[in-house]
Amino acid sequence: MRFEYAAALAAIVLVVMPFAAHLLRLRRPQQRDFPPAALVPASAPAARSRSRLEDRALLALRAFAVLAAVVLGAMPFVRCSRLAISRASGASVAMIIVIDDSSSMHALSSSGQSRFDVATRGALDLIGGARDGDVVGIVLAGDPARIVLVPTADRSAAAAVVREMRVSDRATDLDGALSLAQGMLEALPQADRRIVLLSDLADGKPEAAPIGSDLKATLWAPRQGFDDPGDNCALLRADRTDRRVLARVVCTSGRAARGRSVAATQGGVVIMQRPLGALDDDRITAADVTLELPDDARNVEEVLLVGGQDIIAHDDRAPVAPPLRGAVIAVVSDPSASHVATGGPPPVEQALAALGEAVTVRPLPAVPETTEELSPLAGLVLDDPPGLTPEAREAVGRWIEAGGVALAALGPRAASAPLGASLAPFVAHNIRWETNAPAGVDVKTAAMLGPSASSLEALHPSGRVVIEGPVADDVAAVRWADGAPWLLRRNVGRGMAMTLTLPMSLESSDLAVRPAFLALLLDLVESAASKGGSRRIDVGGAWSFPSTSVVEQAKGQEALEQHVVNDRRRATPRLAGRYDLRIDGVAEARFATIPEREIDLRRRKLVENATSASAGSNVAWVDLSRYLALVLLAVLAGEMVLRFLHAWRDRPTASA
Amino acid sequence: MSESAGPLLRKVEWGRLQPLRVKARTVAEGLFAGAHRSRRRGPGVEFGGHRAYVPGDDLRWIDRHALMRHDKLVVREFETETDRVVHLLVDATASMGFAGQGAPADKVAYAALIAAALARVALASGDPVSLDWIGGVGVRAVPPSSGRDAFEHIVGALEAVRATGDLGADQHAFDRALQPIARRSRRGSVIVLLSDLLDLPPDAPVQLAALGTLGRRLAAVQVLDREERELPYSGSVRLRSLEGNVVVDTDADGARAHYYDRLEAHTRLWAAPLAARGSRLVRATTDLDPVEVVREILDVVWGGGA
Repeated sequence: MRFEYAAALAAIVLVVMPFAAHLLRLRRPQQRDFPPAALVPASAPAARSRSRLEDRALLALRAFAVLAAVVLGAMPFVRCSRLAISRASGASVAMIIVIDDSSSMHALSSSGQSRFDVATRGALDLIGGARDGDVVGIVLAGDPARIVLVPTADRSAAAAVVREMRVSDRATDLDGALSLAQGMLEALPQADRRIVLLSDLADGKPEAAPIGSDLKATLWAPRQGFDDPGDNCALLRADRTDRRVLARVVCTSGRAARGRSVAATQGGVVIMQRPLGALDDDRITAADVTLELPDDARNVEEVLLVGGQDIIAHDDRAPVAPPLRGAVIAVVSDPSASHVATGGPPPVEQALAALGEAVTVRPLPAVPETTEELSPLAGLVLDDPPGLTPEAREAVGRWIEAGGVALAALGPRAASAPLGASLAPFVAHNIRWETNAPAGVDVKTAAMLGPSASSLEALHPSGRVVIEGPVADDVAAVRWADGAPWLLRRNVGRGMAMTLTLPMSLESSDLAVRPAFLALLLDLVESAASKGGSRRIDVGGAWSFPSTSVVEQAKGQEALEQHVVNDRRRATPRLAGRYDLRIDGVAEARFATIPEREIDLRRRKLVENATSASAGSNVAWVDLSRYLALVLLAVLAGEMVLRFLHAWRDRPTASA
Repeated sequence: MSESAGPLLRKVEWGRLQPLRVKARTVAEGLFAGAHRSRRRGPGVEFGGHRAYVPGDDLRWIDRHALMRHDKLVVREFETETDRVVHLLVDATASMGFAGQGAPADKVAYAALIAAALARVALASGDPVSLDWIGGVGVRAVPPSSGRDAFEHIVGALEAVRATGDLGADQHAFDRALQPIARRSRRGSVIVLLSDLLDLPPDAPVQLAALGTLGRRLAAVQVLDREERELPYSGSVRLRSLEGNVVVDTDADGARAHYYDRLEAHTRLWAAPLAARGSRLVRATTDLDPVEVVREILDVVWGGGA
């Protein structure tokens, strides 16, 4: 403890003054009427007896009150472990607290608290240490970053907001959160602007530029409670097919996977278990584990990670999504351009139908122009579309972002799309149709199509579409023999857009009769099934419904946050898991998943000085004056109560 | 007579002495209340003896033979029978309103009882009785009277008294009280002062003793409370007089012996002048049997022969 005004402590001798004064007081003599008083000799005052020490409780209270007043006047400070920003000057501070509420903040620190609890406690410390004139704002760094409290001088309101916060299963968006914080600070008049980042810095981008490198405000990222190392395995999703459960497990390292198994449960009982297997020790690894179910497996509810231990137990279980029966794949194909000589539907429809009962083919005459038309669909195949109208482009784009999977096979009609039509979101650049095409694809780039990829070696194309612009390597999944992109696979939102630079008609090539064509369509169907259309989203995303829809949720489940934005009702899950909804009276199970990149617990680097003591510290001097003042008030109140009790006890009583 | 009531006004605590009328008769009946031989020494026909000359004695009664024989001034006394007026002078100042713890009544009540009993005895003997006051409020003086209603008048006046007044603030109150008695009393009359003698003027003993000339008999009765007599307190006490605003802080245990000495010396200031007039001071405390007190008074004023 230290004191601001140590000289005031010299007055501590006053503590004994109530006792001394009381003891020095001469006891008041008993007064009597006595007519011959003039005949009585007076005694010297020194001969009179001293007053006895009476009312010990009252004297003790007075002494304590004097002590409290003296210490209060000396302004005591105690050193305690709490976050506090440093103040080089007495100027007021504008402070934005960025709190990471992503899934990695579930991890336990060495103190036994979760990292999120450490963050909220630190935020409360910072808010409690704010002074008059300071303003505090709060931003959450779970993806997408969002502002939960605009800068305010109302510290109690800020503290209340922090106390209401709960950790989520979102990914981490530190850059977005810091950008929001920077924007908030720019509008404030305070010269001293701070951003305090309370995060484990695991945003899935450990190799990215240091955090805060483009910030103008001073960044401080306290590390205590956030740097505890640890390994983790997370069970992200589990999907049921007829006899199998496909579980996706991501581990931060092979150490985390040792001794762990994936188990499927039915009625709370493990019915199938399989070891996770050996994973690479040095890097984050994902593994798809297939559990073969016994014949009597009916309702497999959950898949667990059993055995072993990691720092986040919260993500060691995932609900099993039931099989997506009859996934609807819509096909837009012009029969006049793509047909089979023996008759029947276009070859793409026949190929899809050949995939079995898992696929329901729905031919469409044109590309749907509304999301309502697209929402029942799991997949969409466009065979040489003559461009997309703006309405269709908007609808398809939003549908893909919501989890749809679309395949566009571009041909001469697409290359000659009318003015106003475009091929977004499949291709961003201009395309042209050229007749000088290689014989086939580079088989080495077509491994995704499995053993049947070799059937693409000779396609005998009459031409191909050339994309007039650069194509990223990670987007071009399969290439022509000359290296030009043959198949593009690009994730858009929660869905995927696949682009084929060859139409599906038999007149254009032999693609439709190659086994790899079925493999390609199977990849489409499986992708659509795995993404579940819009059934399954990453936490942080939202299910979108028409604003007129009534969305009810089963009781006992984590409540969805529902907002109506732009005529759309958006339901946002906070945690991963299964959500049983009733949408306009129709029951439907939807699933939210922890974003895969959030499992990467590697910390991203910070700019220099972000952890320096000049920005803040974990040790604060806390002024005890306000607490002592309360104690003093309590003591004075106690003295009043004691006095009242004495007066009540000594009240005159009526004589008989 | 002071009529000031003020803060010293005290209601008489009659205590166990009430009703006064009955108590006084009871006290009187305990005494010889019949016709007495009215004796006085002084001019007369039957020689009654000698006594030492005191200033103021009639020079005619100086026995020159004894002067020549013994070289001392002595006067001759004679006995005669006559009716003698009894003048009762009762102190009703504030100090007389004091009653200690356990006392049967306050001092003025006790004095009133003694006075009423004396009146009863005197009236029964055919002697007129008058009543005068020192201090007090509501007091009513009774002129010398005898007969059937005199006792009722005396008792009525005594019952109406309320002790108040500070003689320390009114030095002439005692003079005013004595003046009517001095004017009315004649040779052979009896003057009885009932008081605590505490707050009277310093020359009060001499003034009272001066009435003992011309064949008048004197008696002073000092009425004190037992507490005043003994100072029974212990430890540190603050004592406040009821007259004179005297406040004394003292240790009662340590001051007791000195107090006794002072009280005795104060009493002697009264006893000596009275003794010079052939009388004496009767000491009474309110817890004493009033019969014995009255008997002693009668013995003083009538030479033991009631």
